[in-house]
Amino acid sequence: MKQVRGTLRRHLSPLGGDTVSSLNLPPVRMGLLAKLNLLTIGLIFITALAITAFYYTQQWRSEEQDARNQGTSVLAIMAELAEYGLYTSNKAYLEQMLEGLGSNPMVAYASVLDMKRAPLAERRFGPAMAKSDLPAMSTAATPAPGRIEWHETAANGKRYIELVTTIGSGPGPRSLNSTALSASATKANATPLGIIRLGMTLDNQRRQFQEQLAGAVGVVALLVLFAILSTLVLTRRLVAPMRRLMRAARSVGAGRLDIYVPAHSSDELGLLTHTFNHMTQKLSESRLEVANYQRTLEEKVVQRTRELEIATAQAYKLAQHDILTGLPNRSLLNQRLKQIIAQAQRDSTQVACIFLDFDHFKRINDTLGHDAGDQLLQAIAQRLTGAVRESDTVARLGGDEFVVILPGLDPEQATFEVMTVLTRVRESFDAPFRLADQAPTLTCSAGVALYPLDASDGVGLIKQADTAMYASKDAGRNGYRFFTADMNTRVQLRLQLETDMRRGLMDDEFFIVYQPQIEMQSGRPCGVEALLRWRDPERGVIAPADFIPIAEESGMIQALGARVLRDACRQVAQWHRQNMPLRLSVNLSVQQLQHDSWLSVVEDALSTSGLSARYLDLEITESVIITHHEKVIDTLLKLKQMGVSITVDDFGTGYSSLSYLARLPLQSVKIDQRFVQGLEVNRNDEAITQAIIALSHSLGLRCIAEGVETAAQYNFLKQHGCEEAQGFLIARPLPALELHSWWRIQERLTNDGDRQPDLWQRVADA
Amino acid sequence: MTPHRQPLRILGHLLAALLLPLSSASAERLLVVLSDDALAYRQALAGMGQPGLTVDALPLAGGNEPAARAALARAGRGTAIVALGDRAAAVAEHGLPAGPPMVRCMISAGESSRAGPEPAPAPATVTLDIPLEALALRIRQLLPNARSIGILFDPSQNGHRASDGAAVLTRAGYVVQLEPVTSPAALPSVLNRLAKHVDTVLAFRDTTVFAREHSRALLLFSFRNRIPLVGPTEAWVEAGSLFAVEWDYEDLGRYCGALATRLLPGSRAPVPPPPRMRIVANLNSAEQLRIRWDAEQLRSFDRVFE
Repeated sequence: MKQVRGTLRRHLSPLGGDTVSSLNLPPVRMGLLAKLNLLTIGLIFITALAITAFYYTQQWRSEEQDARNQGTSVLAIMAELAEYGLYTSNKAYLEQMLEGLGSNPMVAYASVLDMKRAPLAERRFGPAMAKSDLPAMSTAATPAPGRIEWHETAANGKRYIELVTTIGSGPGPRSLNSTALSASATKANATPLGIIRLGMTLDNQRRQFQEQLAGAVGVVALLVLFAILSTLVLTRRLVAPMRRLMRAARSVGAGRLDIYVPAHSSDELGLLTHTFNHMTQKLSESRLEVANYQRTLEEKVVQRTRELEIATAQAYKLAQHDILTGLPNRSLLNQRLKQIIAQAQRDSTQVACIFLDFDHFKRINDTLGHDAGDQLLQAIAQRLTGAVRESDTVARLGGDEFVVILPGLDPEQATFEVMTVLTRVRESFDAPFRLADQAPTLTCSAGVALYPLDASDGVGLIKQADTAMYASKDAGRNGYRFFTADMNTRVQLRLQLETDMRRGLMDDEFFIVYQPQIEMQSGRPCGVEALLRWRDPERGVIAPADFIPIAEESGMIQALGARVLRDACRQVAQWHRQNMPLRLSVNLSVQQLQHDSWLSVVEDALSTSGLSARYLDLEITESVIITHHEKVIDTLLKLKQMGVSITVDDFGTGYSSLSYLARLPLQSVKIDQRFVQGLEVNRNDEAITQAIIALSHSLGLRCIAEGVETAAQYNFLKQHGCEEAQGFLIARPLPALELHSWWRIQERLTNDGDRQPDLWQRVADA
Repeated sequence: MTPHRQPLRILGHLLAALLLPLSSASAERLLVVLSDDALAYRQALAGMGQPGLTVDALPLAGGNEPAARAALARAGRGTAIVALGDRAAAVAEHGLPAGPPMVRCMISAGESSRAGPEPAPAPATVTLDIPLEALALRIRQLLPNARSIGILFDPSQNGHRASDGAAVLTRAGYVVQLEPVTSPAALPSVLNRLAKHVDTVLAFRDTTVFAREHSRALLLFSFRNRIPLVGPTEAWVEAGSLFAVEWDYEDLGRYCGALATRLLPGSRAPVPPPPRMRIVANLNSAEQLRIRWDAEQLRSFDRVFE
């Protein structure tokens, strides 16, 4: 038995119990074979039960129906027979009639009653009924004659099918339940004579059924058992190929691809086996290909990894160093500075941060070109590196800004050591640089901050050194400054001023005043110079020298210049419409000229105001011409083509080059007020003034003198042929309305003929 | 006569008949041949006893026919023979040598005799048939509402009697419908026909229509259609027929015996009075048929079944 149980368990277990695998497979609670077997057995069992139950149910119903039919027939006959007995009140006849029913095993009892339900004759059959009373008769109304009704009743725990009909005159009922009688017309009106009850029992049938059912169950059990055994055998044979495939699949899963599963059938499982073999073959081939690919891939990975490491190192270096000079950039500088400060903190030493910015480097870069500028920066880096110790760090922050870090300074000697290094650095730049055919010389402004005196971290240290460097530049460049606390205050003031300027630009705090220019020979007003003023709500009117440099450095000069040009053109155009044909002079900064959109700004101002271009005169300084030679010339030529005239402002104060005077499209030269104010005081200024006037005349340029404040100056200039003049002697810079009044006065004086060549002298004397 | 006293009288007559030959060899003697052991024959036998008359019974039943024939063959002068029933008549006629007078009594009507109990030429015959006039009279008395009467009969047995009956009833004012029944199979259709046209059915004794096996069908016909069935015998009345008119068989025996002794040589006996008729009725059937009889009518019945 144990062996049989083991065999059955192995048979029903998943894959016949062959589930041990090296693969990490989920546990199988019930295998396919077991499911199939259980399903089949269950279906067989259920089918057998259902068929048996259905068959016997139908049979039993049929028996019941037969009993009813038979009872109906018997009752119909008995009713007809009993009619005579009832007519004649012949109880003996009735009892004899009922006695004849004893031969029918299905009849349990029969009774004839009169219409008052008093029994006339009664017979019971069978041992069960012999000892018991008849079932109580239903209290329902008796059926009409010719109708037979049946119902189930019980007595002493036994069920009976009782059929009842009423005996009437005429032929008896032929069938159950309202079946029509042949003599229906007669029967319908028949006089009821009595009632007959017939009790049918199915005890015999039940016993026969039970015997048959026992036999049938036995046969079904044998069939089910046979079906189960057949199913077990068949399913085992059916699943055997699947089991082989499973083992093979597990072997494949474990890496063995040389598995071949023989196919013993040509059905779907055989096809599956062939497909499986084909799959393993393809897998084997693919594995070889994959191995080759993997080897190749590994080689490429090694190669790419090596390349990537190199590239990463390069990228890291690029990320940490300045590409142009090879010096550490700001990022690496911050890292090193952090380490250096940490070390200084441990060693109780000081660290110096020298911020270097080369004076006018941008101008040189623009003049010589960017390539030369790059070469210059590389040369600067070399000289700086050569001027410091090995332990020092030289870094480039961008542009012409360099930082030198001096670590490990003795607090007692820190200043001295810094100055020593600064001296070496400055000396390294004494020699001119060699760039192609140029040999520029550079100076630098330096700011020094010390850790821990000026800042506690690297970023703060660089910031303070930067502040000190700006202080050095403010002090006149080519020098150095150690950071002091008040430097921050000045920087903050400057930042505040810049902020206020931006606010003032938005709040329309800037305004224009116009300083008249007159023809010296006729004394008639010929033009005005537009001058920008700023009225700060708190500081009052601020001089241009205080905010123009900030505007130039912050870039606000573009917006301010465009606004001055636009408003001045509109105002002068308005004066023109009021018969005031004045020329408008507007100062240009180098930033404005360098801006590509400047020409469009000029065109827009002229077109918007309606002012003719020949009434617009743009004043530029000598430095602009020198430092931005090519581009300035190009811009100036385009302005001249537009009809705008160009005047050289502050002539004689810069690096005057007579060659550009002949090449540039200039119309006039404005003598710097320092020379005018030196007239009759300084022989040199007089000589220079005379020379400038003579030079401009020789070049065909008109000469304008600015800053004329005295009659002597006026007379001198007039005497030596200066065409036009402006200055306090003539008029201070006036708001537009005042200038208009001034103009009216001048016109009236001219019309009255009071104007004399020495008008301004008399005015001055007055 | 009450029914419970009749067997004693019959027994007395039988003893007298057995003892007569021993007591007086020269006295008048009657040899009574009985067709069977029917009650009517026994009653008739019992009615034959008279003072000075020896009555010897020769029953044919029970294998006594040879002995009966032998006794008949030995019959000498002074012996008269009475054959009770058709069979006894046939045996007596066949085995009787010329000489002893014989009376055929209680003979079925058939077509052999159309007469009543009137004396007939030798052999004298007394039939069982009730006189039709008497029957018509009783129908008039007991079924006063009857108007149409159907007569079921087998032409081969009661053809003449049926026609005579129809004539008598017609004369009595009834509408008569004769329905000959030649076979039992024709009976249902005949009944269906009668049910639609008659209110009374008159039955004559025969073996085709009023056979025992048809009794239930005929009686159910009567009950279902409420058509009274009259006749043919007391047994039918007991089974459900409404009423019947029959002879008083004891008196009929007396009558036959008197006829037989009167035929003996030298006899000077007067002609006996006709036998008396009895009326038997079924009150249960009368109730089912919704017929009510008053007390006088009820007193006229010789026997009542309830």
